Amino acid sequence: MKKNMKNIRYFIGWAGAVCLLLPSCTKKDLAAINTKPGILPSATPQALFQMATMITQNSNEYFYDYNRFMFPVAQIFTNNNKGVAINTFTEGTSLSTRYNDFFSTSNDIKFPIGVGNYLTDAERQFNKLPAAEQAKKTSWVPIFHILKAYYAFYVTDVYGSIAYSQAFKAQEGIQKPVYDNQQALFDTLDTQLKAAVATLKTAAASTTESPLGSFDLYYGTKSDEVTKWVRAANALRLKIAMRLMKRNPTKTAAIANEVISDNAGLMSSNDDNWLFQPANAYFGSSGGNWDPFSNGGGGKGIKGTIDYMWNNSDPRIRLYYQQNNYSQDNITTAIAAGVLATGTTEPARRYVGSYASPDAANSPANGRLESTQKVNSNLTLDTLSSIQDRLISPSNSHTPGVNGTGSATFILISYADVCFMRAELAARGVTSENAAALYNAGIAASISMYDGIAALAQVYNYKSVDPAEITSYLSAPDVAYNPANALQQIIVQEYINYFLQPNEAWALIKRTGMPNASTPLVYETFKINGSVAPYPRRATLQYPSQADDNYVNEKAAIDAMVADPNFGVPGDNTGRVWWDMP
Amino acid sequence: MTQTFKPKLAFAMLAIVASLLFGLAASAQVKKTATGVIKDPSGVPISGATIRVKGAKAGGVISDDNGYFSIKAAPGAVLVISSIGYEDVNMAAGESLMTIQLPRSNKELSQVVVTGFGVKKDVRKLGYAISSVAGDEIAHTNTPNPINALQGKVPGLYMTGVVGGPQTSSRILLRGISDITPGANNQPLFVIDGVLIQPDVTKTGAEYGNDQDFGNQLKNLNADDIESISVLKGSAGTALYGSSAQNGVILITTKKGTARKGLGVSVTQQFSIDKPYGGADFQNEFGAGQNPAYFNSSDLNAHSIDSGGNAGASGLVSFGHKFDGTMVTDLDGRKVPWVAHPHNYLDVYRTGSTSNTNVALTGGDENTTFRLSWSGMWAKAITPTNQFDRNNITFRTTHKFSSFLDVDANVNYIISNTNNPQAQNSSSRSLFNAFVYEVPREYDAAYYNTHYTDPVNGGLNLTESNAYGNSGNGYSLSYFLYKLYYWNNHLGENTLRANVDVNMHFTPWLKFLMRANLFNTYSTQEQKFWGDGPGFSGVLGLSDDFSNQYQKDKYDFKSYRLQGLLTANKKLTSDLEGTFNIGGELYQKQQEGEYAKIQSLAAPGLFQLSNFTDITKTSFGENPNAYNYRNVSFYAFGDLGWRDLLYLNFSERMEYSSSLVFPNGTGHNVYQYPSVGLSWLVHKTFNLPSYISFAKLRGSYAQTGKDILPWIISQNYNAYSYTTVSGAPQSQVAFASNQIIDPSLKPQRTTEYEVGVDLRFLHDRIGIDAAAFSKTTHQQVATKTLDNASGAGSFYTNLGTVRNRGLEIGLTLVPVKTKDFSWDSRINYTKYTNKIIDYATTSPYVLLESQYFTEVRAYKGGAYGDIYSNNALTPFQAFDGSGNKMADPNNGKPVIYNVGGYWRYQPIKYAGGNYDPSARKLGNINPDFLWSFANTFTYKNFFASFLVDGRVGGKELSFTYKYGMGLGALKPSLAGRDKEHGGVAYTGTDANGLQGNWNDGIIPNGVFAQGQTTSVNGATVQLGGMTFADAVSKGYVQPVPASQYYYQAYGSWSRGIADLSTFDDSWVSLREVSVGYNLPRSLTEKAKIQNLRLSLVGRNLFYIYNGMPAHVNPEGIFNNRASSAFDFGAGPSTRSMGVTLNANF
Repeated sequence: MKKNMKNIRYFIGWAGAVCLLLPSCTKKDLAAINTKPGILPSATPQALFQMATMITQNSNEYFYDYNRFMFPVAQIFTNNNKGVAINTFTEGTSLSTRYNDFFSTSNDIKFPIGVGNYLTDAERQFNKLPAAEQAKKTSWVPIFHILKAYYAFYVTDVYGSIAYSQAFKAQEGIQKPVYDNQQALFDTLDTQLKAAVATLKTAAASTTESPLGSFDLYYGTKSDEVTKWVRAANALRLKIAMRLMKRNPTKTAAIANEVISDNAGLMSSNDDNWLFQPANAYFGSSGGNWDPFSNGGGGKGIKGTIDYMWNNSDPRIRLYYQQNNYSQDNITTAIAAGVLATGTTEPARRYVGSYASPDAANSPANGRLESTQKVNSNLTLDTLSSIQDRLISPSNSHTPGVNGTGSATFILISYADVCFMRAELAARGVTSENAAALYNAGIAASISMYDGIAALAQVYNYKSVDPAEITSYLSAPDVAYNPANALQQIIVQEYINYFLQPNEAWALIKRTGMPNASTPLVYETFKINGSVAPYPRRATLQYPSQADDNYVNEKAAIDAMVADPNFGVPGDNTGRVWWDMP
Repeated sequence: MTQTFKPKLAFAMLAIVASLLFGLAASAQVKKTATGVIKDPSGVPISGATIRVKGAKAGGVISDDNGYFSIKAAPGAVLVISSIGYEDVNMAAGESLMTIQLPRSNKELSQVVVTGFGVKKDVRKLGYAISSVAGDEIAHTNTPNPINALQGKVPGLYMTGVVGGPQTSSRILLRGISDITPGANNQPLFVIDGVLIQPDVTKTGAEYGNDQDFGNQLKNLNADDIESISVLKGSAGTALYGSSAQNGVILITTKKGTARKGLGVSVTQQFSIDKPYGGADFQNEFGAGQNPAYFNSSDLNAHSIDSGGNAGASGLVSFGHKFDGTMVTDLDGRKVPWVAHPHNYLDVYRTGSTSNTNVALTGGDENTTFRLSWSGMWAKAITPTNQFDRNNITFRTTHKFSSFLDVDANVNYIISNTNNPQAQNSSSRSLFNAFVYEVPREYDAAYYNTHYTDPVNGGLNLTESNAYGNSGNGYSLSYFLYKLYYWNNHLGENTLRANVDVNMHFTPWLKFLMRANLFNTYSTQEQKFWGDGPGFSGVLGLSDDFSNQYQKDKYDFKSYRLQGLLTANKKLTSDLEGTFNIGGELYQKQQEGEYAKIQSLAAPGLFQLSNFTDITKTSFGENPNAYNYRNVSFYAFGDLGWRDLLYLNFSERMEYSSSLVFPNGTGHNVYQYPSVGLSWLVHKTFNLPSYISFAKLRGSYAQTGKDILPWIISQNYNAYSYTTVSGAPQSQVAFASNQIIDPSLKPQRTTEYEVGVDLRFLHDRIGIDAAAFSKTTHQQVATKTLDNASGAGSFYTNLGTVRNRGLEIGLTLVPVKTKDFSWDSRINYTKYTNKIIDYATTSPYVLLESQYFTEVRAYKGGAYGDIYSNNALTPFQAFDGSGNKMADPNNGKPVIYNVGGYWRYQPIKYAGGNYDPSARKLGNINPDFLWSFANTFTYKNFFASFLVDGRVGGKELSFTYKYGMGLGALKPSLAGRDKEHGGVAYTGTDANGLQGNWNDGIIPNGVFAQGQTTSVNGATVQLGGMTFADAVSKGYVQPVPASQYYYQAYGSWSRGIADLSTFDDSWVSLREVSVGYNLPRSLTEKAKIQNLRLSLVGRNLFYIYNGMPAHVNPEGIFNNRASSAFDFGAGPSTRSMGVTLNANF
């Protein structure tokens, strides 16, 4: 019987072998049947890179992490009709969007995310190109690395340990990546950026180099595209060095001096700015997640900054804020409605900021400042100035039914930023550059950059900045460079320059403790019910579930961070990540 | 283009068939034709009896549906007439019509059943269990979806009705759940005349949404054409079907024409009505509001009584003023008495009806037969606008060209239309749900059923809809009615099913079968939604963006099967006989389709794709569930019989599947499935006592499997257009899948052992057929969730083992058998248990279903379908000072805590700790066992039968009950509302926050959580560990107002307690009763009618026992997923009663 069965199987095996000759069951034929039409078998590295670029900016992140949390916490604008909402501190945000943007593997056809995955795959697909092709595109992979390093830096900035060295390699068989601690990650990123700079410099000098061009949404239109990336990479190195200032001053100095000595590799004008300026209606659509008012109010400028800018005639005040609505026309209407006393006239100053601290904003003593007066169903007089919301949500309408047609700008690193970082390093004696010159150059660059951004966004009542305004501002009482007070002045200007970069403004405050309640630009201490609100400093983390596939590595990463007492418990966002030393 | 079906083989087959048909001629000798009719002792015609000329080697015929036959026979030849269950009769061929009565056989029953690949075999020879149901048992029930009528008729078959209308699909399981992937199809393969049909799991989705159950392909079967149904439960019977057969196979054989004199005409007319007779028990004593003690509106406008928002209740709660007939102002200004409308939930339903007409023509001689049949079925469901109609045309012919060649061909064309299946979730389209959730008991459904539209402007009647629900959110009955009548969802299916068998007889013992078949369903689904805004505009958009929408989906499904089978059947020695088959087949199926959707109709009600105004609300594209699949297989099978004592069945199948081939051509796509079975006729081996008339032992071992779904492993990048930085569209790429596939992925493999016994006693008056099996499925194909940081969301691999064990018993009894009267009885018992040996994910369990903090899970070491809830009651545990558990009389009682100022039971998720580990098990969805008891009586020309079936054990979470209780609609929520209903008197704050003396207090049976305090006269009192009753008696707390109690314990979305709405889904149903009468031939003959039969049948008459409280429908689960555990407004219980008239001419 056993032999019989064996014979039967043998027979069937032969029949199967014969069958392989038939077209009906060859693997090639079956593979074709099992392939979904419309699926691309491969993708080009440049298309994957472009997709990564497109998804770095995410409306959900603006809704949850920016408009609801970082802008208010950095005291750039309120998330409440007056002041910063109390629940910003009690509930906060997990800041999970940036993590998901980087690490997600979502394949949602409409809103794909996963910056890290796309960049890794871009490199993977590049490596499949023929060697001759690769030789003509030596700038590509370094550029992928720079964007990936930027995003990894951005995520670790508030997360601490993340997977990086072993991340995104499931296709290569690594399903359980080990997490890099921040110290190691900063080293890795710096090394990677340094290598990228070296390769890019060679590529820039090569006559056969074929750069990314139209697929590079940052610098693709510039003739010196590859050189621009060298400058962006160096600027990012400088930024990482700044974060290391307390933890590893030696390293800060080493990186800074190395970068600064590379004169050709430094951003030298606003043309070098690392910006993402999509003329795409998807970014900054009105009434949506981008809209600073979409959290049900807020979007008011903050008193400390507005007062400083008003007092020193900072031309950016009109680029950042709208005047309040005490216009003569509205006042006339209000008088007619009996809301305002006859004879009331338009105030000379219509840039008025809200107190940021919940206690101050809600204090009866500040009632006049923080109150509104309803005139009719269409008009409510509000003493407070809203920000120029089109900077973030350019399609917001000013007149009902007419959407803005401008476009948004997302600043990654600007020339002004580089000037201020260099000025700060000089003022601190880390480098020996001319702090005053860099400070002045930074201010001028910042003003003209925001002038351009505001024009592009079609902010309300846009009026371009006259160069004389800049000159005059540079000699304003609080602004004019004063060596005795230089560090504070530089940091205040860095802070003002970070108007559209709340993550950087927040990091600056965490790193330097400035501006603060006693700087000329007043950054209020947040108080709730008389007590100082503990200041949020990082993302809210949690222990992984035992059900997670990568539980061991995830837990090890958290455990290692918890070992540092400054980190606190994972769920407490007032704890500190590694770089953020007290 | 390799996507399309390879025509080469098809042409080759056709060429062979054509050459055989036209190239060969048959020669026939001239003989006379003998005709006759065959009847049983009570005069009922016997169909399927074999008539052959004695001494002839071939050329027998079979009697037709009406017992008629005709056969060519030389004058004086002797005809041998035989039929299973009857004695053989020899009779000389006569000149005129012969009437032949066959005496019933007292000898052992030689039952022939249809087995794998349609081969008919004597059950004696089978080493595995098989059950058979005659087509008439299904047809006489007049069930629109004929497969639904199998419930309770087959041991081992677990069917659960889904109440979505006549087109609905039951959940069908044979021998448990083999594939634990959430949503996996665990239903058996259906094989209809060789055509493979895998019924879909129908999507009546989640708690939200608007999914409707359009049923699957089984609804297009026509009961009138079914000759018999064989249920192959075990792997030994199904291994021949390989990767399609993991869940068993149900073989359906359709009717053939038969040789007879003249043309046989059979006409059957059936008509039945479906009557909703009850649903849940509603209360009819209290109207809308929170406190029975008062109206809070001075003008007695009934509907301004607390709309419920104040106390956090959603929708309208029915804890208000007692109905007392006071005149109040209704929504439209009418003065109406304050009374309940007890049948308001039935008022929106209607009496359903099903009509089925079948006309069948049969005819033929011994060389050629045909049967042409038409059935027209029209079913009107109890839910208004839900309709299902179907026309089937079937033609089947057999022709014998020569002793070498014969052909059996059939073609079926089916047109079916399904309109508006009843929605069955908590969506805004589920009608029944509205009555437990949305409207109070005073709602006059009969009136508003005709007043839900705006009579002036068209669109929704806003006055009513805003008042009878939370303004503008779509939760009002008018909105339900609007959707019911103004939102049309229609599915039209055109199905072609055709098969041709060509048999070549090389020698008397060697034949070759070539079979080619085609199955094609072309379906069009149209969703036509009128806008609900004024003038039927879509601007209102009360709850979603479906308003003013037209969507058209087209699907084209095709499958082909080409089979060749060489069969040798020979007596090898005097003791040894054998059958041996080898063959192979090519099976391919593919589906494609496209859709277009516009959501901005320019002219409302003009449903054309060109009628749109806003291009941004228009979409079209390929339908996502397209696929293409091919399976090529080769097989050898057969059996060996030794001295009619021992039979050995064996088979081996080798398969090449396309779905496991990667785009680069690699993959484990070739595999083999063996089977072996042994049947031992013990009563022939030993001299058993005479009261044992038959004894057979059988055992088998077999493997089957399941390959993966097509196209899963071939996903790289999707191309699409993305507006880039410049604002111009540019081609972009995105990952098509976030899954990485195990390169060594294999199909699932099921290994099954089965033993069985078939015993008959007292001349077959008592019979027991029992089977026990152990079925283990390895290599579960599963999706393991990865850390996203790895760059992939999941890993698709093999890991996991599930075991099902079970017992199936069929007991047949013939308590009475006389010449005129007989009584046949059958008892079925089905039990299976399931154990998850292992699974793929690293998660502690596989999540199968999830609704409202309650999950159906599969734990390693546990069984498929454990119900766990985070909203389960927290059992109290006392601790001593140092944190150790200690004994306490209150331990185990539900914990009570304070949320938002109200005392309520604490869901376990709020009891601290992590959610998951604290979720508590409430039970398992699977029944302990199923049983049925069927009886058939015949007395002369009368016959009667009844079928009772039941389910014991297994849990169901009823959302009908949960919300009906929470919102005060159901009767059990009367308890505690006032003094009469046991309410406790108290002085304090009622549910509306008003101070006073009330008597709607309820004292929850529970213990305060540790740390709970209350303030008494300014002093803080510790309540932790104290019972609620104690605290009330001490004056620390007041009783909970009834409306608050029920809302918090049952109705609250986030804190409603799952335990309180989870019940043993045990029931006993009087499933079927029928009586009939065959008119005596003496009466019918004058009308040239050879046979006239009248029968009455009632289905689903009532529940003799219902384990669900308040008569909630116990068979009301809302989808046919294997893991389904919930009902959402299941709909009323419905019985159907019908009449069937069958005449043969």
